[in-house]
Amino acid sequence: MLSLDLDGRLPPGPGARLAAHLATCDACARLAGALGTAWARLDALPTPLAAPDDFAAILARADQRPTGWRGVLGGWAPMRLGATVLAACLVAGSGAGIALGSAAFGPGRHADPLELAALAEGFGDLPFGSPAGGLARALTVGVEVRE
Amino acid sequence: MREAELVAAALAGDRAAWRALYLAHKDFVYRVAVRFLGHPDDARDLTQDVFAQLLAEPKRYRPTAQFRTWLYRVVANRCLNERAKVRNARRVDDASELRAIPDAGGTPEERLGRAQEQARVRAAIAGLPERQRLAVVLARFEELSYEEIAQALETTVSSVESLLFRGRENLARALAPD
Ligand SMILES: [Zn+2]
Repeated sequence: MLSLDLDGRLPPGPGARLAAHLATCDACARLAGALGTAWARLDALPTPLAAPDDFAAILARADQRPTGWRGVLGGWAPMRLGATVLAACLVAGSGAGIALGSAAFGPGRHADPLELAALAEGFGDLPFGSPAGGLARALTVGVEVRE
Repeated sequence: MREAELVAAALAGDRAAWRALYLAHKDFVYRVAVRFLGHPDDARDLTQDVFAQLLAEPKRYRPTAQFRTWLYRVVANRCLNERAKVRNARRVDDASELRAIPDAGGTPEERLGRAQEQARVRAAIAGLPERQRLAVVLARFEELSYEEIAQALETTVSSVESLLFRGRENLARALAPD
């Protein structure tokens, strides 16, 4: 639930209830802070450089693969290269825009037991700040690393 | 030319169209691979392999899916397979991390501090289970939506929510002050 909130995916109702809970529960507020800080610290990594242009090597590799690409790539058309590359640049630009803009509110599903616990806590099914039942468990006890 | 037309041309055997698709998408593939694998050389190799696979097996592309979605899937598969291959062959070593730091000014102490922070963040990412790590890389650095990550990992949106929640928890634990 906190993770969804950090990604802006909580609908207004649950989002407001979570915010109200965080204002009164130190343990959950601490966890929310730790999750947010860790996420922000990933900014320390530099952006990788652009990939080198390895198209020639890729053609050679594709050629070595069992299925081969010769039949597929029969229509070598050098004169169209300029126009196609230009089109690719336009596509890359709009593609990035689509990728960045496509996040939408999903249904409020809570697959993780911890998220369910937090939801119950937030909705008053468990006492607020209950150290055994709340998200605080994730910091104080820790949850298994699993997939 | 719209991407759909470019893809159609590529599938029909237009090498220039393939090259255009490659130039449009190679940096995405490379960035994901660098951050997932942690090594530029491995990432370059993986990038070549991804596009070689697309070129060699275009018939596996389903025209109903966006090219980008198809690419996400191939990249995710290759990352997860590659990781299994190199897992025990290489370790993130601190010396190589330090060499990778750009010399961006500041006092030697500040540069060392940045280098140490980068090494710590890299190690935290490297310590995540693979599917969590890939979900984190795609969400945090490539800003893919949960839906796009679900398509890449061939799973559900709620499973992506779970991967990202646990990924954040594990990062917070790994990056917590001692
Ligand atoms: Zn609480």
